[in-house]
Amino acid sequence: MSVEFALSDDSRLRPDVCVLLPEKAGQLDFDLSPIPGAPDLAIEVISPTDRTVECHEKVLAFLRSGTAEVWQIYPDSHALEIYKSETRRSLTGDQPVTTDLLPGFSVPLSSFFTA
Amino acid sequence: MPTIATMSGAQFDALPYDEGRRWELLEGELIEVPSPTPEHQDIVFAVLLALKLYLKEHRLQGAAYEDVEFALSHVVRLRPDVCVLLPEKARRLDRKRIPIPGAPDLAIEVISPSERTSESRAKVDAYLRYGVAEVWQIYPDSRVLEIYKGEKGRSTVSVDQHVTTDLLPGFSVTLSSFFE
Repeated sequence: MSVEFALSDDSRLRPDVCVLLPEKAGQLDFDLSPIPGAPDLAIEVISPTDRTVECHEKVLAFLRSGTAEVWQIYPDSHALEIYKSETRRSLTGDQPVTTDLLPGFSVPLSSFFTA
Repeated sequence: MPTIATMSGAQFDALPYDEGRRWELLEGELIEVPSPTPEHQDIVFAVLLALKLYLKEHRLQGAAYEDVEFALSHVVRLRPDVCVLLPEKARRLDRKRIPIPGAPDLAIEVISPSERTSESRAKVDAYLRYGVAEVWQIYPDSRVLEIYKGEKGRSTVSVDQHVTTDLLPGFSVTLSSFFE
């Protein structure tokens, strides 16, 4: 079950996967839901029924609320789109997934799609 | 994405004109084209006007169109909301024939509320795979432009920023002008 974040007064989002870096994780109240604020990294796996506009607005909402990176994983095209507030990046095939948020983290993108 | 039907490009081309216009063909799969809203059409017109003015002012023999169909491969028929053909492609264009064989240089999609994420993404992939240099996605509600350039990456333009591209030297309009 994914956890819920209260990004603002009128936004409650539950990313498929999220990462809180030590600073935010240290302040986390494990008994409180929704979690106030935004995760550092939010990851969404795109579902067949997802709407383009909604997915895009979720990305913008996370970035506006302080999430440093949002990852969209596309199961059909085996692609990863990385959104930061000012920049975008796309990974495909066997490219290594890396991020400044997690120094030393590196896995081939294809590993996300093998059961 | 939900498969409605599969067919070849030649079968698609043989559909009655009105039938065909309700669909695009993506790798042999029919995908529905939503009926445009007035807001969608206003944006399409604003973008097309800006591009046509640019081509005229710079005396470029390029072309910009709304809603014409391209045969990107034998199983792909896509109709970008707006497209630009640079002079080299525009010169070879047979203006009496659709679908246009090949890819435009720039394909622009104004995102409709009913569009599926996987489908929008698959269209971007197809455009880039078959030779479109840049794909622009315009999001009317959030007033954001997402630019996809294949290997050259991605970028984003917010409403108060200028829209520019290496494809059209000297083209520069504020993104907000597309929404007025």
